[in-house]
Amino acid sequence: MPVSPSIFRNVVEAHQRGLYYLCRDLTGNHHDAQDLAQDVFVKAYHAIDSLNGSLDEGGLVFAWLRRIAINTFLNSRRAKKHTMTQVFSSGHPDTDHENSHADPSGAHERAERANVNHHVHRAMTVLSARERTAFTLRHFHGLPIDETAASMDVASGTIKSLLHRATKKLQHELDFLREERFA
Amino acid sequence: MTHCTSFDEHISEHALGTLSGADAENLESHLAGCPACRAELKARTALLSHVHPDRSEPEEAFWDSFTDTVMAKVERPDRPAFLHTLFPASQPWIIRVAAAVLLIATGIAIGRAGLQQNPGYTSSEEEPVLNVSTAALSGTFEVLERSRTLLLDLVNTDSAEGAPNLEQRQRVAEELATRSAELYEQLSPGEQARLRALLQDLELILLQIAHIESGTDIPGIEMIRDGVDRSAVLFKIELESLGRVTDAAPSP
Repeated sequence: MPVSPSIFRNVVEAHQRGLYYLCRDLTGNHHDAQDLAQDVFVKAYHAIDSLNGSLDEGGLVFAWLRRIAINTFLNSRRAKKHTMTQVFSSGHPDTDHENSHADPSGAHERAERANVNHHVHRAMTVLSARERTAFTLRHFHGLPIDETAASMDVASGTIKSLLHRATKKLQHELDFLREERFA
Repeated sequence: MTHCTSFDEHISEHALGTLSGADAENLESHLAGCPACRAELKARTALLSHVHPDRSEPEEAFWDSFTDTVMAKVERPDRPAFLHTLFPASQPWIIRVAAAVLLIATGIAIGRAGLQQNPGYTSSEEEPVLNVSTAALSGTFEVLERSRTLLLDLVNTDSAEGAPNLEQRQRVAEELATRSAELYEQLSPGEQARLRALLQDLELILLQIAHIESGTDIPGIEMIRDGVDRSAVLFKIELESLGRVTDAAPSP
């Protein structure tokens, strides 16, 4: 089922934002997310035959793109912790986007929140690629367990284990914040 | 006050909103009589409520160039990816032409400088040897990096859990072992003796992983962990990767 470039352009335009944010959640930074999202679309174009449905079915197409993104991410991931530490520090108080547009009256509260975000994003670097993928799909994108499992091509029980390990790791990494904020 | 470990996983599931059915009922009735688990659930729920994705928007121009770049790659798949980055279709043609001219001029200048420094290097017969060696080296570092990820994953897995997804890991280990053996033959016995020895150690460990009998073969997994420790293979991979970065860095 070959697809014309003009039709595929519509697919890219319809899904590029959703896919880009998924890729950014997976990779933790803009540049890797951009590369990954572009790779996904190129792979999708050449593997359009494997799409079991119509290009008009937005939800189905996005689920298919998401699966390609997850496979591509997990296959290509390298254990470069320093890179991940650097990229997840993007939520630093000085550069936090949300902070820059906020009402100045709650400055202290926002600074506190940005500080917590900063530590949280750094803590994400300790998660393995699979833990981060499962956590991203469930916690950031709200996918049910079975859909997360299908997206990662593993059993539901595996997803539960990955999520539990991810939660415990984050809890361990952020233990120093626990007394003041999480207890 | 510590919470009950038997409910640990269900507490995480509850905090993540994925616990249901009989498990949810069991936990609820347990929580009613266990202040430690209630406190743990409260802490974990509070933690997760602070973990948000970054949703800052890229600049609007990013989206225009994004679509163009994807479509250029789709329509001209033979064009190397770096050219799309250097000359995105969204740039005015004059800028793209100027950038191309600058790139070619820089290439010529570098080529001339290289020939002046190495006047004896005029034979094209040396190139294939150089390419094979470079490809083998590049392949070796890719195998080292992937093996490091695999080994770290296995070493850091909780013993009590056995080895989840062992079959998938075994397939990767087998592929990497085969690749290690191939690369061992391609590397130079003299200049790359250390890398060859590392590939040999790695191949042995990878083959052990590939032949564990099941995910519950705890002694087998422990034996592999011991092997990783004894051979210091992770440390050696770190050293080689570090050496590669140092070699690639420009001298002051």
